[in-house]
Amino acid sequence: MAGLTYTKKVFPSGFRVIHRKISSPLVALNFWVRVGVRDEKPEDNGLAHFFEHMVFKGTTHFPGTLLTRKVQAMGGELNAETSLDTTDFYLVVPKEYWREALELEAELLFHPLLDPKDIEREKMVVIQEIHLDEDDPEERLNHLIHQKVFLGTPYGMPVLGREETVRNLALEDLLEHQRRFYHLANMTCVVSGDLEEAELFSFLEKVIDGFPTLEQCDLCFFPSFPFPIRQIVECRMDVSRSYGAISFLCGGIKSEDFNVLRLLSVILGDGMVSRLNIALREDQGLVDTVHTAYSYYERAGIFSVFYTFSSGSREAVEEAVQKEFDRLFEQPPTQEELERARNLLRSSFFSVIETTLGSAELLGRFDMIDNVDHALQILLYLEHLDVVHILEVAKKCFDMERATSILIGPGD
Amino acid sequence: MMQEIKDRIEKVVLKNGLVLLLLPIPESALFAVNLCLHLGNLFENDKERGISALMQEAILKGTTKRNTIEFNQAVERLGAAIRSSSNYFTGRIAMDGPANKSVEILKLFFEVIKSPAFRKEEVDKEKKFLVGLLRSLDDDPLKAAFHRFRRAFFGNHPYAFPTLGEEKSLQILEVEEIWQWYRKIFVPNNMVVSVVGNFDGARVRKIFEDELGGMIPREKLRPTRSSFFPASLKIVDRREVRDAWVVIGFRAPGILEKEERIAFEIMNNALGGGMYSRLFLKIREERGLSYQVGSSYLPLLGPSFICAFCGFPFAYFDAVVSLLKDEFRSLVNIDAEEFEEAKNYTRGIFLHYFETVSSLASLLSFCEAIGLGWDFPWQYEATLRRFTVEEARTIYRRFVDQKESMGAVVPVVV
Repeated sequence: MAGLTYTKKVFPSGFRVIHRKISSPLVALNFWVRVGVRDEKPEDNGLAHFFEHMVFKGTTHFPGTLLTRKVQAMGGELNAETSLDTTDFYLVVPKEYWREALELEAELLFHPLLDPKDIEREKMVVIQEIHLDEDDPEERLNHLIHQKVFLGTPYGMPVLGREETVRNLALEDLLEHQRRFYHLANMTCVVSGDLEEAELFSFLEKVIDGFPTLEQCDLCFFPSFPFPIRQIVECRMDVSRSYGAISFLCGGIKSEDFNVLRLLSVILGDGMVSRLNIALREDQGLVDTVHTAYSYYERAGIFSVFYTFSSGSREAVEEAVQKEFDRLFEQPPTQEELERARNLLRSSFFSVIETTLGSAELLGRFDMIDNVDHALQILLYLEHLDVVHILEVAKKCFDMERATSILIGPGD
Repeated sequence: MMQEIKDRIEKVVLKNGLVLLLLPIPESALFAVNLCLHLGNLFENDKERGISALMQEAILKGTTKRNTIEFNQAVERLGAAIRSSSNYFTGRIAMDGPANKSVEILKLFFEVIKSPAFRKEEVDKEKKFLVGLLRSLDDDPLKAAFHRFRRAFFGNHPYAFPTLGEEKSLQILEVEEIWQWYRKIFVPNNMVVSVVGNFDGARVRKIFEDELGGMIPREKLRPTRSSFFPASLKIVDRREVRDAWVVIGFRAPGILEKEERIAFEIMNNALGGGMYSRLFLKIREERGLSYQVGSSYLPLLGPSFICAFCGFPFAYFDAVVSLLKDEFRSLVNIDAEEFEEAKNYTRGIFLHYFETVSSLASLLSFCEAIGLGWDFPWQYEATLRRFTVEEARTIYRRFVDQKESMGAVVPVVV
């Protein structure tokens, strides 16, 4: 596995820097902050995402849109994403601009203006974003899955928040959020590109000099996940086909089941010859599309079977899925199936680390919510998985009596 | 790095007209092969609408040697992926996977190109799939507005229809018609194949000569329609959605108009290409009216368009439409500083193509197939750098005064 290397340095402030050298005309600068929906209360749901929006609204040294203008003028792509556990900001620039870009991204994170007028205007934008997701059947399906499977925990709340909680956010909330989470000990910066490591580390040291830091601590209480019960939710939208999912609560990124669930996802529902595709689409014609997805977070994960159909029924699809789960035990995955799944995961891994941003995001996510070393050891773990272990995990996770079923179908 | 990549590319033209582009990247762990062909909307008449899409779906559903499952098992066992697609005027068969399986990947690539099966049951299944997909195009409100815009702009030109075709024509297509279409499209003089990644160039060249050198050239397909005048219609439909979506645009240079096209790509990025674009600033930053607002320039073979799109509360419909039109017009006065910034942004986006073996393979075969030449990406960068604001303004002015077309989806209940 030549080339799968990186260097990590922890500064005295607790700030972590990871560098992966990769040949590219671009450099990706990816800052990760350990804050997400899990740190929110129901009454301030949407705060992490709203703060992420607000940092783009001008900084102390670059008020208004000056900073985004500078980024665009160097050919940079700047964006951010808030999730259940983390918030990350990335900037991809032609490599000759990496120093300026790094300074700008640090400015964005540590010196946002948070102007009250901008706060009110941005609330309208975020509410538009909420509407947009409500009008998209696939986004709505995803929201419902998280809401129902993670019911009663912060993970069950929407990343964007709700209209009423967004409307109620105030400057004080943002300042407190900034103080608690936007400090050096709570961040990792991943830089991926054709740079010299020593130069990067010494430059970053200068850039972050004087920035705030606190002891990193996990103050937020996180309740236990409720014992899953069978849930069925059906709703209507102005769509022409049905969008469905069967979802199961399972272990997250730190769970011992993590690699098995990834492998099972490929065996069951990734690719033309995955078991569910052959049975439900090719043989029985029950669905237009079917695939599986394992979404993993720090404290838990969701394994879902997603499907669409133009004519058919949820019951028929679920019966067929149940048969395929049963068949896992009657006809366990063959060596050929395991080899296929391992090879597909291996190729997918190499495709992710082929780009500067893909590498940075992979390393950053693992460093934030697990251990960065695990990011590059995924392939080794896969080699050691055996059928007995795979079936144990399948038995534990795929219990239809504990499944959450969602179906969004056409209105009358 | 860019020059180094260019210097490594070898172009080989087989005696039957097939063009092969080889780009070895020894440090890569991956391998990609990409075939680009002329097919799609532009070459289909009313009765054939969707035949390219159906052929491209069905072509991966088994060969004369193996059925659907056996063929795809062979692909996926390698850790490889195969995709086929059809668009407005080109289509592709693309494979990628681990570099140490390059020879096996190529064998499967040739099998699908030379010996598809088009079994009736598979064709019928894919027909049903495409019809379902067609019906669901409107499920996403932004796509629904775009679809209406294309009809409003292209009128009865083949580009007005979804690249998937139309339900009525798809339903009556027979297997024999797919075969005839395949025989017209998959001819060596309509094929450009690029191979990128970690492989032995001499060996791969020899494999191609052995496998595809014997194919017989035939007359290439011609577009079904050459004349075009924008329909400039306004199509607005009501749907049960929270917000309104509008797409407004007008005619723009085609993909072969090299200079004009580059000017428009820069202008498009100044208009709605990023967080500092004019539309983003005016509609999202200054007024907070929209989360998703931007512009899109789609250079095609022949008639092409530039458009602005926005999702927003319906109460602001007239205001937003007016803002979009104003921004189209005022772009004529772009100054040198803003233009330079948009140029740099355009270059930054362009560089992303050089990060992966599959995006490079796709770029090379596409540029060569449509007549720009495989080295167009390098000309592109040079032209981009020397373009002046005066030149771009002159080109933009020639297009901006046209009557615009509009497609929109608005809420049923206001």
